[in-house]
Parts: sequence; structure tokens; C-alpha cells
Amino acid sequence: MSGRRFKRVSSKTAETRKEARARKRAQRGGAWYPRWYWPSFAAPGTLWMLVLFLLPFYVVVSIAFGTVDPIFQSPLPVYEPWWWTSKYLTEEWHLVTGEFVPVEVRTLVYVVIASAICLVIAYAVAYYVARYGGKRKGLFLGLLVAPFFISYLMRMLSWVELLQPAGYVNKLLQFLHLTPHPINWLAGVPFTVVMGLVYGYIPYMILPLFGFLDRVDSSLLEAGRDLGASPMRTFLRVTLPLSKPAILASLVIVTLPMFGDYYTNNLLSGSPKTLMFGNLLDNAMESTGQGPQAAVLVLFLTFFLLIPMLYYMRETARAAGER
Amino acid sequence: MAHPRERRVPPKGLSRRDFLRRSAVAAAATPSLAAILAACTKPGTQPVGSGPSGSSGPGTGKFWPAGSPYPLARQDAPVKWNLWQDPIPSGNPIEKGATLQIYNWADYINLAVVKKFCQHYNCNYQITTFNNTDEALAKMRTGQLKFDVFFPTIDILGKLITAKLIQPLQHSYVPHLVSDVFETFQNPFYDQGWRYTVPYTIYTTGIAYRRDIIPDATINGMSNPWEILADPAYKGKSGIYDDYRSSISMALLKNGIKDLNTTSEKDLSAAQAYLTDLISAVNIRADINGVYIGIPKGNYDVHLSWSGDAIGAYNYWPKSTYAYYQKIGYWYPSDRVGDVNNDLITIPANAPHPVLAHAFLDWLMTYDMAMLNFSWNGYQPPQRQADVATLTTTNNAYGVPYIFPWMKEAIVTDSDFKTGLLELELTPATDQLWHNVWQAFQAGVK
Amino acid sequence: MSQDTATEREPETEPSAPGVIPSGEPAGVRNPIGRWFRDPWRKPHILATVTWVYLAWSILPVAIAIALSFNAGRSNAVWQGFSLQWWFGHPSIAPEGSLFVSPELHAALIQSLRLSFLTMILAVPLGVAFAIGIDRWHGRPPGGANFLMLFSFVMPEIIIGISMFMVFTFLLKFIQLGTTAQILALVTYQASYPVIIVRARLLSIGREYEEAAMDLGASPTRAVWRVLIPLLYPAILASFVLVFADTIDDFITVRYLSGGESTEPLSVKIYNFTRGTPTPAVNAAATFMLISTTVIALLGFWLYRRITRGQKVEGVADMLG
Repeated sequence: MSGRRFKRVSSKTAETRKEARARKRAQRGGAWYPRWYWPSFAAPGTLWMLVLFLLPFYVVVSIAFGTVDPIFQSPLPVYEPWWWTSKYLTEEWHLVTGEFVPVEVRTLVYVVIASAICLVIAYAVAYYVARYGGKRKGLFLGLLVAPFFISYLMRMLSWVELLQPAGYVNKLLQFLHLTPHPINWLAGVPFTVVMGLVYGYIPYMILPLFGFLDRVDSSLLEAGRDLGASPMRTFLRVTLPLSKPAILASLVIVTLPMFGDYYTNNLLSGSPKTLMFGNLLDNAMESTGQGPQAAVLVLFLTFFLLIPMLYYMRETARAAGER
Repeated sequence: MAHPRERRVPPKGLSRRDFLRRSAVAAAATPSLAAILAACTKPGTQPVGSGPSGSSGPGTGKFWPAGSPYPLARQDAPVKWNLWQDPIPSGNPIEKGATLQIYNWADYINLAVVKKFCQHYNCNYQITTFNNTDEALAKMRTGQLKFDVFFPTIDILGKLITAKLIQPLQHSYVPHLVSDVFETFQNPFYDQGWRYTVPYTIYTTGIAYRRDIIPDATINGMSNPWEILADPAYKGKSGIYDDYRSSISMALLKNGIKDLNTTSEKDLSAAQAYLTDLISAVNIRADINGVYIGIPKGNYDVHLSWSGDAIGAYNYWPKSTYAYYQKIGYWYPSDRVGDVNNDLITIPANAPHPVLAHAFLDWLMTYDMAMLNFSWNGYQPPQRQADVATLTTTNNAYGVPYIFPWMKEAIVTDSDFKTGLLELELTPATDQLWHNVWQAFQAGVK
Repeated sequence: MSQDTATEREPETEPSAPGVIPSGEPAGVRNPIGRWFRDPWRKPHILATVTWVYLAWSILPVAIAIALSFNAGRSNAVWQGFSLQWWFGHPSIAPEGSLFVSPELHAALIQSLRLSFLTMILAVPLGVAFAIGIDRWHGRPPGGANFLMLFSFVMPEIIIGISMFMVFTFLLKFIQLGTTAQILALVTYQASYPVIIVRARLLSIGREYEEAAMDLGASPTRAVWRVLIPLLYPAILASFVLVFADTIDDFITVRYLSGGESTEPLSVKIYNFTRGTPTPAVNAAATFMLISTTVIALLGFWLYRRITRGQKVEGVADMLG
């Protein structure tokens, strides 16, 4: 072990700089770049990320470990770790692990149900369009992309109006004699909130799934059919196992933002009965004296979502590396 | 985009456990904390006005709780704020070709009033809106935004003056306050000698209800009409405001507590329990537009209501007919012992056009302009000429009476400010306690 | 990007395929439904139904919202007759009430477009340069930088929005809340799109072309500008369109970082109106936005087709990232 290290070091010292450069150049197939050349491409982006992504996060930490202004109750961040006080942090942490637990559980339940519904519908639609779209694939694709072109808030607003007591949904239900009185969909009904989440996020799931399924080698599936396997069986034995990575990736894509979503819920319900984690965050942001709380909630959410985030990043990196 | 203030979006608080610790910190460390913090935060990150300014403090008043950076104004303990600088001199010419910068609640001022002002004084205007006073304070404290007029509530006045965010007024530019406005506001208890503020609108907080579903007699006949919000008959159609002061005050009043600025943890706990009960009993929701949008749309049968919202709601029915107008009613305690408030107009310390700003204040104190504004936003101005008879019989700018005869309860009179209960400034610590209650309600915590 | 895993697993699924065949016959003979179900050549009726129902469900509410922007009444829930008043104004409503007359909505539209445009022209070059640098420069530091970039991509937006708000209000106070802060935050959030798209393309291009150019005497800079960048045009264009479309709809970040009325884009306005007084003018504004985004996307697509003429087009896949 130590011998090998010694050998490497000595070989390096023996090698002149010129030789090393020549070797590297040979490795690159003859082209030569100054050493600073490629790093200079990456530098602005790296610097940007350091100042505007890492630093803001540090400010959040400094607020979580900081204190508040005695008059305005606004946060006073403490930037030096040696001055950090964990008092506010522990107090807020008690809330996060105490009073807020029902909200956290509810959020988890809503998100899991909504993502599951998203997955079932999105997979079916993506599968159909990819496999059977045929000549109409372009049209289908246009319709699937359409929701991206209209504001998310507008899509929610259109549901708010449809679900009014005198709105078209109730009119339809009454016309079909499915309900004698208009249903108050917007009065804190969990179903409405979950439906809103599904409606809002499903386009983000269909497209990646379609992107994947469209590229699955169809000869593989033809083979299954030629051999007489039922469509269901071909699907279960061939397509589904193949699409596992795509499913997981698209699940992560819709699940992560749902955990921070407050507006869907605010517009479609507004009742404490359906309060979600994102609402806690937004409410903390909008009120006096809650700076430390907002910071702690942000840190909590980040840690909670770390595993799915890292999973997604690993998958992305792996896919890139393997190509 | 027509209409009343899209008011105060939800604030939140800490847990109750937290409160004691924080109030202790605040009490012990008000002067010294800032110094400690100055030592441990980077230079330049120090907030404006952390600590009483000047040796004598921001003002004088009988009620100055320990730990409070400023005296608290109460009806029986008026406050005279010190002049932290002299008002601008009188007789200055109005700034020419200026753009009047207005900082206001969303949908809280009739643009026609502003436009007429600008035609008269040959200026432009820009209106910037805030959703709640927290947001407004935070943005004003950065010092980056320069406004000429700012519309705060009474309960942040101490902070504004202590932090020197608003400037003293030069009375000679605002003659119409003396000639046209309620007696109460000639020398208001929250700002003796109206050194920093003029009143904007006056309103009570009661209950708005669907008269076609709940006859007037029903609600008036109840022994405690506040309880109608908890009536299971209106489950899913009962609402309160997404405003911690108004909604908690409702719960206090329902419980028979008349101090709407209470520091009592017991009273506040009871209020919190009641609010939380409302969630399970009637699936109560908290929002801002529930009265003027929600009731006409059929989303609510009963809703906690600022009188201005109930008055302005006529505008939002599907059709502009009396058949619809008559469907909304407003209840307020008949002994007139209830929640009554007024909003303010002030001039920020860094106003770019202070003379024009004073002229605008005066403009809003004139009867014609005040009533034109009222026609649109439903919030009554404290105009002496606008008595009950005038308000119910004279048509507004849109051809209906300022206040429909069946909504007389919504009229605010000068005497209401003597019998009524006001939501006033709290110490930062007590304010956190109130926020806690609201946060617990929002999270559905028992 | 993930299709590689598919090809990778291809061999291992094949052995299981033969095991599938024998079960074809028996149960189906007696039971017509079973037979239909097992018929490998049947039409996918259920899937077709699900797809069409989904499409109707996804498009219809939006279509109704668009239609209601032409409503004669002030309701945006119920049709009350046709009128253009919410677009062009009418004496019966306050002049502030319609899209092209209201200074407020006007400003919001312009702010939306301004933010999207500026973000696009800042984030895309930044991301493209970053992707090239990271891809060609091997070693430990780019790994860390790349990690940071990817992290910003997966981070829920609310976290970015709040941390940005905090950094601009407490530390970098010389940056005012408003357009500047909004742009800085949006670029941070969006820069990862071009990085991911361009890197995918770079991997498939390889280094041969630039190196050939340099062997023929081109300087490194020339090789990049004249050879590499043109090869990346499709990916760059896709990034422009994606960043534009995603930014124009951004809500969370821009809301926290808006400095006042004039810096609130349309998304924030829609939210405020919905919680305040929604009128069909909001629908009109959203419809207008839909039209402008569609125009931009079609323009991008057209350019894309022109640029990629003669190349093997991975079009949709590239666009979807």
C-alpha cells in the first residue's frame, strides 16, 4: 500500500511538467486547452449558485439560530456560528414535533393519495398515447402540453368558479338528479383539495412518463403479443418493470412541490381542516415574529425531503453517466 | 377589482409556552438586547428603531406596561406622541408634476377620488398595495420604498412613531379635518392633537347574514347572537375573517369578555377553544372576501363582518336588483357595545412630496370626496354631515342609498366611539400571545 | 434521459417472456369476457376511455375559463351573455375593470413578460456555459458544483422562495425586493434546466468535432463557438422555450420577492384576485398569457425544426428534459 503510494509520488516528481502536459494532450487526442479554460465556463454558474443558492440557505440557518427584534418581532439573523442560540430553534422544533404533527400527517396523506391517483391516470394516459397514439400522437401531445401554457393559478381559479354553489358542477349534478341541494365543494372538503392537487400536478407526470414509454422498444412488446401473452400480462411482465425508474422519477417530480404547495389548498378550501404543511410555511412568512419559525419549517422540510431529492439527483447523474 | 380591502392576510404566532419566555426576554432586554445584538450582528444589518428612541421615549401616556417600547393608547389612557421632528413648514407650494405615491390596502380607495385629486393638482399617482400591516411595516422599514401617504391601522401606530417611520402633520394644510370630521377625531385618544394621523374610515365588526335564510327577527331574538356562527344549521356556510384581531375579538365577545386588548391568558385560551370548536361544529373557514363575495355567491349564510364589507356587498350580486340587495343583513349589538374601529392615513417620514401628501389628506377629509370614496368601497368616512337620515335616504354615486334602510345597524356614529370597544395596540409580547391563539386555530389545535 | 436504463435491462426481461406463452388458451375458451381480456390484439378501449376522459377533464375547465372572459356579467362562474367588456372596457364597468384599460393588469402582464424574458436571457447562457464547463472539465470541483446545480433543480420552490426572501431582506439588503430580486431568484431556480438539457446533448455529441476542428488549427475559443455551440443549438433553443414557459407561470418565488404593486406579475394578481374580487378580466388576462406563451412556443418549435433539419431529431424528448 505505502509502497504503491511512494511509487506514484516518485513517478510524478520524476516526470517533468512538459512531459505531463504532453501525456495529457495525448489522452485528449491531440487537442490542447489551457488549464483554466473549461473551469472558466463553469465559474459564473458556480459562483452564482454559491452566492444565490448556498448563501441564502445559510441565512435561513442563521435565522433559525438567531433571535428577533424586540419591537417589530422581525428576525435578527445571527451569522457567526459561535453566537448561535438554539433557544428559538428548540421552541419551534417543539411545535414541529408537537402541535404541527397532525398537519404534517395530513400533508403526507394528501400527497400520497394525490400522487397515487396522478400515477394511475398519468401512466394510463401516457401509455395509451405512446403505444396507440398512432397518427394522432401529435394532437394528443399538444393536448397534454396545453395545461403548461395556462397559468397554474388560473387553472385553480377555474375550478374555484366551477365548484361554486351556483357553479356548473353543481348545476350538472342537480340536472342529473344526483343531488337535491348544491354541494358546498369549497367548504374544506378534503376530496376537493386532493382533486385540486391531482389536477394541478398531473401534467408534470404525464410528460416524463410519455417521454419514457415512447422510447420503449416496441419490438419487445410485439414479441410478447406474438407469443400470445395477454396485453395485461405483457404489461405486467415487460413494460411495468422496465418503467420503474421513470415512475419513481416522475413521482418525485410531482411529490416534491406538493409538499410546499399552499395556494391550491388556500384557493379550494381555506379551512383549518385541510391545512397543509405549505400553509404553515406561508402563514409563518406572512406574520410578525414568525421569522425563526419559517426558517425552522424550511429546514425541517428540506431534511424531510432530502432522501427523495438525493434519489432523484443520483438517478439523473447515473442516467447521464451511463449514456 | 372593485372593492374593499382585501384585508389582513393571516398572521401567526408562537406556542403559549413560548410566550412566557419571550415576554421575559422582551421585558428584561428591551434596551440592552439591541446593544447585545449590535455586537453580534454584522454592521449594517441592524434593524431600524430597535429600542426606544431619544431619552424621553416616543410619547407620553398613562398606560405604559413594563417591557413595552412605547406607551399604549387606551380610551381611558390617551397618548400624546412626541414630535421626533418638526412638521413641514406651512405655506409651502405644492410640488409640481409629482407622482403621488400611495401605499394602501388592496381595493381600499376609489380610484375616481385619486384621479380627481390628480386632475385638480396636476399630478400623477401610483398605488402600491399591501396585504397586511406586517408586510407594510417590513417593507417600509427597509427604507427602500418611498411613499407619500400610508394607510395603517391604529394598532401599529406606536411602532410607526417609535421607529420614526411616519412624520408629524402640519395642520394648516388639513383644514377640512377640523371643519368636517367627527368630534372624536378632533383630539383622538390614540394620537392626542392628531400630531401624526388623520382618520380614514370607520367601521364596526358584527355579523353579516342571508336575510332570506335567517330572518332579522331570528338573529335579533337570540340571547347571544354571536353564537349564530356556531349554529349547526349553517354548517359549511359559516365564516370568520382571516384576521387574528377581529376573529379572536369575536370569540372574546361571545364569551362575554369586553376587553378586546386583553392580556389574560385564560380569556385567550377560552377564545381559542371556542374558535377550534367552530371548526368541528360548523367547519368554519377564515377568509378575507367571505362577506362581499362569498355571501352573494352563496358560499356563506353567516359571516363575521366588518360593516363596510356588508354595505359594499350589494355590488356583487348576480343582478343589480333590490330583490338581491335585500338578501343581506348586518347585525351589531343593539346596545352599541361592540367592536368598532377606525383606520388612519399618515405621511411616511421619507415621503418625496410631503406638501402634496398633506393636500391629499385634506382632499379625503372633504365631504364630497369622502362620500365618493364611500360609494365605492362601502367603508364609511367619519363625516359630520353624514348622519343616519342622510345615509339612508341619499343616493350614492351609483344610484342606490349609501346604506339600505334594512342595514341601519351598519351605520357608525360619533357616539359609537364612546360606547364601543376598539382593537388597539398591544405590547410586542402580548401581540405574540394573540398570534399564538390564531396559529393554534389555523392548525386546528385544541 | 432515463431510457438508457431500459436498454440496459432489456436482456433480463427476455428470459421471462417464454414463460408467459403457455397460459394463453384454457380459461378464455369458456368465458368470452376472459377471452376478450386475454386477446393480445384487442383494442385498448379502457385506456382510450381513460385518456379521453382525462383530456376532457384537463381541458374543459380551462376552456370554460377562457369562454367566461367574454362574459357580459361580472361573474366568472356563470355565463351571462357575450361581451368584450372585460378585454377592451365598457362604460358599464369601472374603466379599471378591463384587461387592456386597467393600468394594474397591464402592468402585471408586462411584468410577467419582463421577468420571463430577462430570466430567459440570463439563465440560459449561464446554464449552457456551466454545462459545457462541467462536462469538459474533469475532477472533483465540478462534481460539487454540479451537485449544487442539481440540488437547486429538485428543491421545492417554496424553499428557494423563502430563502431568497430572507437573504435579500436581511443580508444582501442593497438588492431591493422587486424586479431585481425576482430575476436573481428566478435565474437561480431556472439555470438548472439548460444545464440538464445541454449536458444530455453534450454526452451524445462527444468531443470529436471540436477536437477535429482544433487539429485543423482552430483555437479553443473558435472550436467552441464555431463547432460546439452550433451543435448545441437545438438544446439551447429547447432551454429558452422551457425557461420562458416555466417562468411566466412562476408564482411562489415572485410573490415573496415582489416589491409592490408594479412588480406583481399576473400569477400573483390572479391569486390576489381570487382571494379578493375575481372578475372575468382575470380570465381575459390569463387567456392573453396563454396566447403569448403559445406563440413563443410555436416560434421556438418552428426555429427548432429549421435548425434541426437534416439532423436526427430527438425533438420532444429533448424538449421534455
